[in-house]
Amino acid sequence: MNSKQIDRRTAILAAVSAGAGAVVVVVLFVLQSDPHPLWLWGTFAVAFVILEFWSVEVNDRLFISSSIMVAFSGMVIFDRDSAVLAVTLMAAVAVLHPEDLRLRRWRQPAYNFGQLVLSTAIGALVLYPFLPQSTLLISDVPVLVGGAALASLVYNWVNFRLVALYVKVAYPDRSLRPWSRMLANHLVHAVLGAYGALIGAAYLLVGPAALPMVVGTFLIGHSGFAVYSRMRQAHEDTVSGFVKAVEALDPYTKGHTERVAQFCRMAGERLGLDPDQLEVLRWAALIHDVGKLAAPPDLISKEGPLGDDEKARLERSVRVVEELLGQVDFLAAAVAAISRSEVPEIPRPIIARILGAADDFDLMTSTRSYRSARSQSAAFEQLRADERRHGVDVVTGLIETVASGEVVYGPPDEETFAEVERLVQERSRRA
Amino acid sequence: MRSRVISVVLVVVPLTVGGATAVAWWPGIEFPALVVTYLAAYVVTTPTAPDRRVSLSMGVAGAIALMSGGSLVVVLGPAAIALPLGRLIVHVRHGPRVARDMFPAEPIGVLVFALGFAGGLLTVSSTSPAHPGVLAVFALAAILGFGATVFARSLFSEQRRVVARRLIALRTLEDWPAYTIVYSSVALFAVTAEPMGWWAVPLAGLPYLFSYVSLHRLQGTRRTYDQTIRALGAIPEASGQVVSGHSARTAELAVAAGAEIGLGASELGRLEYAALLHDIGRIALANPTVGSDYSFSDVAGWSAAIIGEAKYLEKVAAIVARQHAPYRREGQVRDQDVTRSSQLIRIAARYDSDVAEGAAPMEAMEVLHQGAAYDYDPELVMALRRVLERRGAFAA
Repeated sequence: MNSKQIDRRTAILAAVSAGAGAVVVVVLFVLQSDPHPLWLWGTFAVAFVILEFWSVEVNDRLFISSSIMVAFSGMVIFDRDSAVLAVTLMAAVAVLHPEDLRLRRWRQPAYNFGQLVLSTAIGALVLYPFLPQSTLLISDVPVLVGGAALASLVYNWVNFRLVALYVKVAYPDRSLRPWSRMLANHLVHAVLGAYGALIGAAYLLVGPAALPMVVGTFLIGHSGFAVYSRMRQAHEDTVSGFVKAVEALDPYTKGHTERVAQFCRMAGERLGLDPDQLEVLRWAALIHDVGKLAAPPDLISKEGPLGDDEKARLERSVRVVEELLGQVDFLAAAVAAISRSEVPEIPRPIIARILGAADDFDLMTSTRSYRSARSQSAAFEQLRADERRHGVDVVTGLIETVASGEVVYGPPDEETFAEVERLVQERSRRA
Repeated sequence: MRSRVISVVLVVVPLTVGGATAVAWWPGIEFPALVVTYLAAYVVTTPTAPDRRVSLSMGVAGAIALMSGGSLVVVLGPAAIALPLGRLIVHVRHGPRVARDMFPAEPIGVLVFALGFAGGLLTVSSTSPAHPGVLAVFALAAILGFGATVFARSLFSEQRRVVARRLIALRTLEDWPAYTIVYSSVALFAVTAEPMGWWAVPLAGLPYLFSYVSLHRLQGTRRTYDQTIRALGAIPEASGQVVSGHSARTAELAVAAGAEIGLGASELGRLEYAALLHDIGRIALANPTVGSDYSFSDVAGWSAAIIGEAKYLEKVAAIVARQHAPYRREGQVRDQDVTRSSQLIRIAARYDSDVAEGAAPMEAMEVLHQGAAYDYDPELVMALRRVLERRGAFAA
């Protein structure tokens, strides 16, 4: 599919979504009465918008937005005859992200309007039968909380499906986590929805005095997670910065780490590694060459292959750095994967094997100071020859995932390879 | 020794008397239940900084105070039995440093809070937890208890004769989120316990848990980030380009001298990272195109360029970039572009290098004094000197 087709499809999808959202809002205006008091609805709407835009990372790449908690609190507090409309309107005003205004894009906010209004309205309709018929009693709370957990699950599922639909159309190459990998996200949303209903019940049974205490504690937690997320990003940026420093030592290795990390991710996903393993694999790929930072200067860019003594010297330096990084708690697993990769008597874990195969593949398809890059098909042949070292599953997985992509690595054919090889050898002789 | 005497006088004696009174006058199962609740408060502790945690004991005291109408016997009686055992729990779970930091500071906080709350209630007509006046007294007593804890922590764990206002401000900034979530959660529990029954537990517990997890993760990430910076900073040492341990020692000295001149917490944090990474540019020497013709300023530039790759460390990179600049040039009083942090790294690194090469500490200090005309800011040299003198570095 070319970019024009994608553009047309996303435009149609955004228009349909916005239209559907508008229809839902109009129908609810007809069926339900206006939420009152208006200042209370306004307060909840502001909280909903802030939390919708301020999603935080609560665990490794598990982002949550607590807006559903606010929506379900409001649903319990407002009368039954205005509750669904009240929360759907909150969703309707939460679509214009400042970034969309800055970039003057309309498709994303238009689609978001539809998907957020639809998923919130469906979640609210699931919760509706569980709302008390008249004054809330303490005996109503278990049913209310259980209903809110169920409604939150439905809301999250619909929301995820609608987002996935847009991503599939607008970004065909991007993959979303499958449903089975989203379990933690759904559980967190179920708890948030149930807790929202509990806050609403506390408001009705105790009065508004309970709200500031909940909000105060919750805001501290939210800010803590926001700082945690920034620290994680800083962590990654710092390690990436050092990786760039490594690559700056040798122009022939520029981009090597990034490519190896990409091959590792592709092969890891194809082989069905779980998110924790993929995370270790990513860090292992990022730091697998950091050991070169301590390498003796004369060995880094030596023209030609290294001798046995030189290899041993390089190995010693690399080990020292690996030991240093191994003392860092979260890098220990990644360092262990790298360190055990070449010890024959220890069974190599799958992470080490994927990293080894990806590293070999990129080395073969990149030009070095002393030889030309090999073609992709020649590199595949060499990987198959090394199946005992990397494992049949890993080699097959890596080859399949690379071959299924549009990019071809290395020179396009053997003739080009021979020509570049001749030039490299000539340069080497002159040097 | 002094802290032990004060802790006995201020905490153990009144709490023991209160505990004995409670045991004698208070039959029934409530008393052991409250003791167990206090003990549980030491199983769940919230991290606020390296080697520092906040227990839930203040929260337990707060909940009991709100629900008992501020009775000192009910609040302090079970605490007298539970708090010494709590210290043991913390010692076993988190080590002696954390235990020393929490005791006697937290029991002092509990004592001040209970007295403040009981005294404040005398001015309010109701004792119902949901009464606005009671909640206001609770908030004031909580602030008093928090202040007393922070002051006691600074006094005892830092072993300072005079507790600096800056240190108290730093501790307050680090600890207030943890204390706020504890007090807010227990107040919420106390206010909702009667109308909502057991539903008050998840209502108050979930936001506490959420905040607790966030602070826990944040401290964990901070710790591993520190580890990463230290590991990366030691790489030039691993390759033999810098004396072993130089970056860690330089960082330690620079931070101590920075604290001596009153740098703030965030500036000290940046100074530590900058000092740990100040020689990282030496890894560029592995590039054969660099050769041997380079200056210290080149190394500073390479270091800053590598550090600057991480956006989070931009300010650290700026400190490192100026680490080899003199603090003034001819005709100037001071070069405003050279920060005190950059100068502190220069001074601490020079001192450590000279000592590592065999110079006596006083000889290394004299080199710094001699360079005070342009290279080394005399005010900062004196700060380092005071730090070293206190440590006995110049003793014969």
